[in-house]
Amino acid sequence: MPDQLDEIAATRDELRPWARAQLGVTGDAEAATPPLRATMARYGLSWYPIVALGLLAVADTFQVYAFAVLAPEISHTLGVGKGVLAGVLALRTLAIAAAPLPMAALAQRGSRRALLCIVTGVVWSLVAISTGFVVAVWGLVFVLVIDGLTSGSVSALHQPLLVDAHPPEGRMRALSIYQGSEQVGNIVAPLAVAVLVAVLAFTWRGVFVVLGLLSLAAVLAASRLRDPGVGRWDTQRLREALRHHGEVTGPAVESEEVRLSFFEIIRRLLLIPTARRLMFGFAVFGVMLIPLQTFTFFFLDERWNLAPGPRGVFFAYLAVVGIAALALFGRRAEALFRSDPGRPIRLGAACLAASVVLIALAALSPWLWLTVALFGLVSALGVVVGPALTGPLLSVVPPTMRPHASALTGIFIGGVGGLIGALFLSGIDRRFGIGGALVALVVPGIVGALVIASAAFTASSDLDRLIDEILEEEEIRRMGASGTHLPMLACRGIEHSYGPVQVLFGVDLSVDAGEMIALLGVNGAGKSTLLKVMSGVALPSRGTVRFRGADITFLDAERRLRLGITQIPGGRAVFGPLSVVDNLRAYGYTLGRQRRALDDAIDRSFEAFPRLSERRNQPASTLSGGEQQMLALSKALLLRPSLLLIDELSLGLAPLVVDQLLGMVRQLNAEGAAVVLVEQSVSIALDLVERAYFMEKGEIRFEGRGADLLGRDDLLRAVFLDGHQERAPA
Amino acid sequence: MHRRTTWVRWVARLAAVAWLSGCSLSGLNFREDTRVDVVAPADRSQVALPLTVEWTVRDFDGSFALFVDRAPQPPGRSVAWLFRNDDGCIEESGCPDAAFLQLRGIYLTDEPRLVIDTIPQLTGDDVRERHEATVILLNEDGERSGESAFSVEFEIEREPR
Repeated sequence: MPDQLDEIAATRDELRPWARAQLGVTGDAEAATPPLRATMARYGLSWYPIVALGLLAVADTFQVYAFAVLAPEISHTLGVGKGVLAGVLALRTLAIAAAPLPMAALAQRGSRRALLCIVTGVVWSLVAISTGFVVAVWGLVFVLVIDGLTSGSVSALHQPLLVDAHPPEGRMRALSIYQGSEQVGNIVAPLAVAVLVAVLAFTWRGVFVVLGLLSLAAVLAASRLRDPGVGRWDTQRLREALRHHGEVTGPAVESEEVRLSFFEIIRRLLLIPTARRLMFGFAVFGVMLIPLQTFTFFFLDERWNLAPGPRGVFFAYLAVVGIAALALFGRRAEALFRSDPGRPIRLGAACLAASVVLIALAALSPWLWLTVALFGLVSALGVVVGPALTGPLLSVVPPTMRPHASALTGIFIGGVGGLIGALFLSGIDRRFGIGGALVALVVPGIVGALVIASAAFTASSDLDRLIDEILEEEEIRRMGASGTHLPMLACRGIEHSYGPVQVLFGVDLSVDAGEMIALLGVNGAGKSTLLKVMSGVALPSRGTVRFRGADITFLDAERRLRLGITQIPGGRAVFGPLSVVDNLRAYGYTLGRQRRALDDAIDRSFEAFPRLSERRNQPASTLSGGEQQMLALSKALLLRPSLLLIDELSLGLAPLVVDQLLGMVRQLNAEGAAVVLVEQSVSIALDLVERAYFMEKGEIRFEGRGADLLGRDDLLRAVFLDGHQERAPA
Repeated sequence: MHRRTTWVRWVARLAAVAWLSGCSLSGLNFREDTRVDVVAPADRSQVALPLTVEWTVRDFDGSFALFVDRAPQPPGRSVAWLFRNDDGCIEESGCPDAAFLQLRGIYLTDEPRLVIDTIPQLTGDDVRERHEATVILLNEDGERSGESAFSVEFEIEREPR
């Protein structure tokens, strides 16, 4: 079995550089970057997806912009105060913050991302039109909340779709163009509002109706958008290339049973160091980004007495500068990514830090022309932060999880950062004025930049982890197809930390079906933690856990239970206040409504341990230590697992009781359950098993036959062997 | 499956009711109403107190309400509607009267001209003291006529304290 795992590891190490190149990271920053047009032509790609998503992004800005500009007129017409409007806007912000995750959840169920984008686009267009017919506050609440909810598709789905629609060598530019389309929206929306109000004399109602119709037209133009397929240009490409290399194709190892649920995906994403750091950085970025536009509006008004018209021109100027900056950034970012996925992140962090310093200088500037020039630079630097971070982020997360990553990004920027930023800047504004608030942005900006920059150090290894997962899966698929025997459970390269303290270091372990192995080691060696990683009670920071070939590394413990993995935790794993029979019923919770089956199983437990039957109505806390372990072991009798993980069964028990418990473990194993037995007592363990692992300081120091372990005096200190040597034949 | 369909149907119905009850198809202004033009003060100008607000009118022979730094009542309502939950304003005692309204930045007039003697100072020394005056049309019953509103912004110059 270790041979197969070694073979997988060897293949993985051999293929990794090739796979990195497949994913666009060739390590060569100096090579010429072909024009995007050439890249598109090379792969026979259409510009339609980027245009369609760009149109949708532009259309999405209409309602937001129109509402921000026309809020006073809406207030006068409907007879509602600014406070009420602020409350309505807060509800919409809440909807915008909450919506991306459900969108990601919807997308998770299949490749319906493009359809979702179009449907939500139609809805928000209709909502924009109906905003023009609102006559009451609740109508306003309704349309804005629906608008916020449907806008969730933009932050959750657009960029994953773009990434999947373009090969890695054109991705940074595709993201830059998309970012540029948002800037176009920042020009078109104010221009459209200005023309409709000032030239065509529309009221706010007319503006919403016309913008809604324009939005609907844009959505219809984008309606031929189709999902390119999840991970088409990275994971799919890699898998296809592997198979093209002559590898045997086997059935997919992933099944519905082990497919990660929504919350498992979110948790798994936050375990990716780059994603975790970027999310924190995004939150700090949001402190600056979200309230900045509003505060800049007020700053221009109060400091420079700019009327709405000139302010509109100012923001259009910023958008134009932003588009120019993105045009320059795209190709450079491509080269940086090609060299190392961490380098665009570093560039993004530097741009963010420079932006906040320039904002502070602009706030202190005594001349309007200098303020305008500095804000231009801020726009040029700030606009590239998004694609500089999004490109690497989406490249290091598994493609199926990209909508979730995008959704989290939106939530961290808007929901977390935006909210904190609004409170933070309002507080500073009250105390030091609007200029002071803009200067104060330096603090979160620099902190955010530093956190973001730290993600640059992990991006490369996270990309390797993604590659490793694919290579390993393909190798296992190949082995499965060629009839190679695979272990029932295989832990590979497991690392785990409790906070800053790492306790497992690249642990490899495998168990075959029906096998019983022992996991030995001194106190604090990491045995129990490894067992928790196997059962899902703890999640590894690195490495994989595979059950019958399928990746269950991030599967919840209760789902692993349904797969047949049961853990008996160490230290009397019973519910003290509950009676014996209630404990058994609690263990049998996963048997669901099969009450009869549960009753039969409880009867079997009482047959196996008559002393429990005698104490069936007694609280578990009043049982002796041995009886409590019997009760804990009854869990296995109830659930009939295919893999039983037992932690420290014998600790502190009388030999007679230990013998009785071990007899039951033997019986379970004889009936087909594989067993991993964690023990401090070498003598007990080696009496039971053929194969054993020995752990020390979080690493496997020995793996092999139990008899061979007895010959390793360097590992087995006398304190362990005392008992065994007494019982071992001479 | 059936339960889910029913649930979705009910949510859709509720959404439709909420949507429709908050919207209307009649009496809405989609194009700018040009019957009133505020001629003084000039938009975004600096003014001193007492302030004269003046407007020209055509095709309208009702009265006006002017609101300083506050939103007017919704269409079809009188200014009293704004104080319907104000325990200190009892209708039987003639509230809201002109003095009560002026204290709250509301002025009723038949003429297209009005002199405002006081406007509460905005807080914060470093903030430009920007105010907004909004004129609406009232019918013979004193209710807001249509949804048109005509606004002007101005900045007050005050003597240093």
